[in-house]
Amino acid sequence: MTNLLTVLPAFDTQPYTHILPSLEKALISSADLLTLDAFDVAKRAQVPSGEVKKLASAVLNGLNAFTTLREVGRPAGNVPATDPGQHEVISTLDDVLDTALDGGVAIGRVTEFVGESAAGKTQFLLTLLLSAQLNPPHGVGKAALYISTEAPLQTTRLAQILNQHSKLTVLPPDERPTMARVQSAHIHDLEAQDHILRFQVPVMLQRHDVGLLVIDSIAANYRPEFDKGKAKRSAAESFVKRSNQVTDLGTLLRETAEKYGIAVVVANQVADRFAAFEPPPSQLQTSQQVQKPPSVSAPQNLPILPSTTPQGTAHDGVITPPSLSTDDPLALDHQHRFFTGWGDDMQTTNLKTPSLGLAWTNQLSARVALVKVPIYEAKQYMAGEEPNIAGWKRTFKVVFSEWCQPSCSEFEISSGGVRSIAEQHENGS
Amino acid sequence: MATVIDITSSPQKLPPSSHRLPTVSASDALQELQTAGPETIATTLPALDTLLAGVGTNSIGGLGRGKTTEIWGPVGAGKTALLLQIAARELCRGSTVVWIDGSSPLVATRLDSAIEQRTSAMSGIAATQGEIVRYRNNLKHYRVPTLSHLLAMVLHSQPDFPPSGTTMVVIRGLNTLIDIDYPRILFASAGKSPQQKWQAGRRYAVLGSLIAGLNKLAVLNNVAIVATTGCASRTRSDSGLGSALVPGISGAEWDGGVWNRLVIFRDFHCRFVGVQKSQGRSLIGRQEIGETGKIVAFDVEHDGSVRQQGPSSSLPSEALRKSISRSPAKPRGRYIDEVADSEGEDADEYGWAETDEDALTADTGVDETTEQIATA
Repeated sequence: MTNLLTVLPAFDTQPYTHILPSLEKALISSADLLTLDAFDVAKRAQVPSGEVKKLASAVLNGLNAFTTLREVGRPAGNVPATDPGQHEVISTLDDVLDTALDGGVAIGRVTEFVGESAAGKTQFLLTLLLSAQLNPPHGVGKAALYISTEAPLQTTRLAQILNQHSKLTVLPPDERPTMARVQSAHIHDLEAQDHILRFQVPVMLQRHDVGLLVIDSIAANYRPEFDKGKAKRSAAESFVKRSNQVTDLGTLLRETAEKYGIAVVVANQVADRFAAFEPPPSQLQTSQQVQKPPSVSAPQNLPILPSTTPQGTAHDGVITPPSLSTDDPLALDHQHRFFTGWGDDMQTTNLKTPSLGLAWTNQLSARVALVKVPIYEAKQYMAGEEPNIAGWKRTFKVVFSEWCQPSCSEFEISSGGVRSIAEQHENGS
Repeated sequence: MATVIDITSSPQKLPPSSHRLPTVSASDALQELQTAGPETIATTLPALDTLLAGVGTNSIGGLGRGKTTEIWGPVGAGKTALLLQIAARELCRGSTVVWIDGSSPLVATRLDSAIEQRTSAMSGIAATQGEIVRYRNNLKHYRVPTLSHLLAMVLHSQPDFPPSGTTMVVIRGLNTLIDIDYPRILFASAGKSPQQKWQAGRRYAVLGSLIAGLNKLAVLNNVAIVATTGCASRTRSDSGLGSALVPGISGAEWDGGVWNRLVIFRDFHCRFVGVQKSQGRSLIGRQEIGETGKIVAFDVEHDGSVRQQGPSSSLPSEALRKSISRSPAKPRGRYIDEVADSEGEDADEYGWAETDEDALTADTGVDETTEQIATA
């Protein structure tokens, strides 16, 4: 049986060793055993049907014993039951961002931080490595494991955050996090990634009492692979194979998170996306509103799109009924705007898409997009002159999450880590 | 001598010597129907209930009991939010709800929050902690890590499953379970052994067994089963459009077995529920990938509650088309002009046209979908 021990790890295969190899060769899975008649299975695998019946009922008993009734919120596996009302999190060490995340990054789930290079992903991950060590409610009082795929762990920066973060410096020495409780490992390529995540990480999780697993970044090892020696694969086949690999990876991470009661936080990269969105003529003609405060106005090469009329509010005394914005609402391009983190306000033209596609997105429990927008100097520009970038506006955007609502907050990076900017508020979700 | 049968009388008054079949009067039958309890579960969005109601029946629309509904949509669209609200309503009315999580477990605080809002929406006063706990205990939560666990639960269900008093069974994240055991395989790859070819077809066969099992469970226990799935994408190269989202689970038997199919998706202003299949009949064409069917607008408030936006009836398609931007590549509906070669012919010399039309509009049952290569 190809997946019997994955489905029922504690299953005793001893009484069935004489039929299992034939079942495996016939590519029969445990789901097949449950949906097909024992006689058909036996015929296909050329084994006695009585034995197949016995195996099927043993599997069924095993499955029914596992699927026990549980209080909502109580995790399975080795972790002791927690109060159903309590929701374990790892804080970002900033109050506004923690509120946006309803406390912080949730335990037992996979959260993704996605953004362009230098958007601030690593800063957040380093902060989480430290806050995981704090006692509840800010952390889980356990060690952290950092797996890098590109650059190794930035220990200098980690030490700097540890020594300068406003919330960490006020703690007494016995409560402060330490560098010693941060374990790190490096994964060079894709084959090693699967092996390490599947077999070596669980050992490390238990040996070091780890509460947080960070992978920075998840997409780096997925590069176009050129098969040498095999027949040339068509693009569609490679795509399907990649999607299945990504699905398996996501499943592995989710299972690890739930089984060991840890938070899995993953960093992801982005690629550019070009959307063909024509604003409807009626919207361009309505009166334009000022979008940004004067200090950050950019030279206008593009027409300012007016802010979208909020639902149900009176505009010129007429309440507009809710309507679709396009007659092709299920187009992937259009829907991308709402689950990638870029594009859900009509003004944005610089759209990004997280790597690994829709298959990966379906595996996540939460996605936080770190959106970086340049702030141009407000001065008189000559024709054809490039605007000067005075700074960056960084937004911490919860795109979707299983435990909190979508939101947007601005933040900045400092020597002590990341902190939110409370004064300026942004329109939009 | 003919026995006078009083047509308003109940069957027991028939004389025993009568050889007529006992009849039930229409008023009695109606009364029985009304006292038997609602056959649907309200979706808390009135316009959606209307869309899901059968045409010409008096019954209130909603998710049919004894039937399976599929709700699909991209991540974060609002599927769980809506389901939580529907479940909370059932819990607050004293029913039991079975909640089966396939991919990741429900967050407990969301359930409590939904129950709180429902009780205050229904009774106008805030719920006490004891009430919330009591209602929460009526939600029986199961966690199925693999497809095999779900199949064991549904196809070989234990005698006490579902518990008595259950009106709704929710299965969340069904496509993730299927994709792990039976990932999509490209049919075109050559050089497959007979076993591999057989295995490639197992996905759809297992789905067929699953939907049959779900429908049987639904009917035997008079529960409404709701399965949520994520989405995949499919190219639409034949119509020149880009890719569109499609349900994560597809297949002739599965599509034929679900009674309702809803799609939940987001847009700039608010979110929408589209009804793609209702009352066992598909409302969109077989080849129309990316069509949403009739839609109802809603939004998820910051406290997690789901509220309908706009008028209480669903939006007619004409009202929509006015203010929306037209996708540049999407083909416009063409009006069928008269074909030149039918000049002068009398349309209906022999009266065949009427009978043909009757045959065409009769209930032809469920469409079969053709298989295509699906890319995620």
